[in-house]
Amino acid sequence: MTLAAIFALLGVLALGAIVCLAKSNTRNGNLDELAAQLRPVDVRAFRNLMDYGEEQFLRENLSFGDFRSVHRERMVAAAEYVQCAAKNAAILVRLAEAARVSADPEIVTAGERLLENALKLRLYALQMIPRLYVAILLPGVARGPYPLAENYDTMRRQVVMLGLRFPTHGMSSAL
Amino acid sequence: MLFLRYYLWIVPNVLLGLVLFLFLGRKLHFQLPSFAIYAAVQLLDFLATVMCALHSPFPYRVYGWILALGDGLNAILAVWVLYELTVKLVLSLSCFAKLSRRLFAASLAVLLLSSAAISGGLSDHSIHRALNLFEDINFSSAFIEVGLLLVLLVFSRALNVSWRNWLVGIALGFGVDACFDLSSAAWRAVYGRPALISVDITQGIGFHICVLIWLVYLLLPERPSRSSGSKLGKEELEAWSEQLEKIVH
Repeated sequence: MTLAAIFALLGVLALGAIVCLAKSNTRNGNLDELAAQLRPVDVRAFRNLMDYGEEQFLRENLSFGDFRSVHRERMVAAAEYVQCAAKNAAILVRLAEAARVSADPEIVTAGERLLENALKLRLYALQMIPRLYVAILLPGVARGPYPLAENYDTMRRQVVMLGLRFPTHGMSSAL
Repeated sequence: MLFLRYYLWIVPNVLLGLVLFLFLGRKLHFQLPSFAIYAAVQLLDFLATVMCALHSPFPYRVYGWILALGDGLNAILAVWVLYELTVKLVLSLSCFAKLSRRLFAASLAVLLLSSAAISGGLSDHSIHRALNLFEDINFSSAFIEVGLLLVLLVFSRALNVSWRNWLVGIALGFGVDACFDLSSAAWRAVYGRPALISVDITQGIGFHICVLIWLVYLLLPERPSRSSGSKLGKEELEAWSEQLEKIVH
């Protein structure tokens, strides 16, 4: 009886989750509106925050308490950069999907490259954000070998190249 | 009540015939062949049960085996449809092929093992072997379908991959049907024969909603991405020039 009730409830909950997720996965892209949601990412500043050499320098020149406080702020800022980059990548996924259905094969290829890179960046971000929060608690812990900054740069170039043939709605300048 | 039972037995299958007709008419079977096969097998299963019902005296044993085999075959085909949806959405991208194939295989293995364990625990074994088999398959397939769909939807939500309207419709239809089956199959396993009619009606309603969803989504036109033109802004030109300079140097 209890098991049957649990599964009945599970079925209802799963139904709600499936309906919500399916609704959110439907293609609904006004590219102009999405372009307005892009936030620029300073890749150079992000690289600096992620630099182990910089971290070592701070560790050697600051007291333990000051270092911990500065390190925490640096990691929180890095996590915000990663979140921002992942959000931008999500918007670029929509742009790439629009390019992929173009009649021009070169635009389709450019769209596919951008899509792969944007999805890769989102995947890196998903793995990197928890590591950054762990690094706040445990300074010196490995933050992973994810080439997020390089990936973001490449993605930005790909949008620019795509923009030569396809309307990017001002996305290249907003990155 | 009898009218409702006949309605839920016949009408969803007639609508499924219409779904298959539309699906083939829009040449979508080239993109998702497994769904066309699934619908065709489901219709054949329905026709076989109709033939049984028209036969006198009613062949209980044959009817039971048709139900069990039909359900088993449809469960395998439903998993195939979900696999094809995964292929269309993420496996087609080379960088994710390995990852999503592993994710799909691991989820399937976990779901298969847990459904076997749970359905073993739930089974109220009657003297009819075919009915026992049918109940186990019915519960396990619903459990696996719901699990795989959730994994697929969460994964594509995390990556922000959007689905074409009709693909969402197919996934949603399977999801609704499997959720109704999951809720009611456990109920039938616990209460046995007295619950058969109410469970049949519940599952019939689930399948009816599922087919209606497929029909509506197939009739809906595809929504293209909206945009207000391709005017170039000064900032965009500056960004091009800046990025091109980086590429050149």
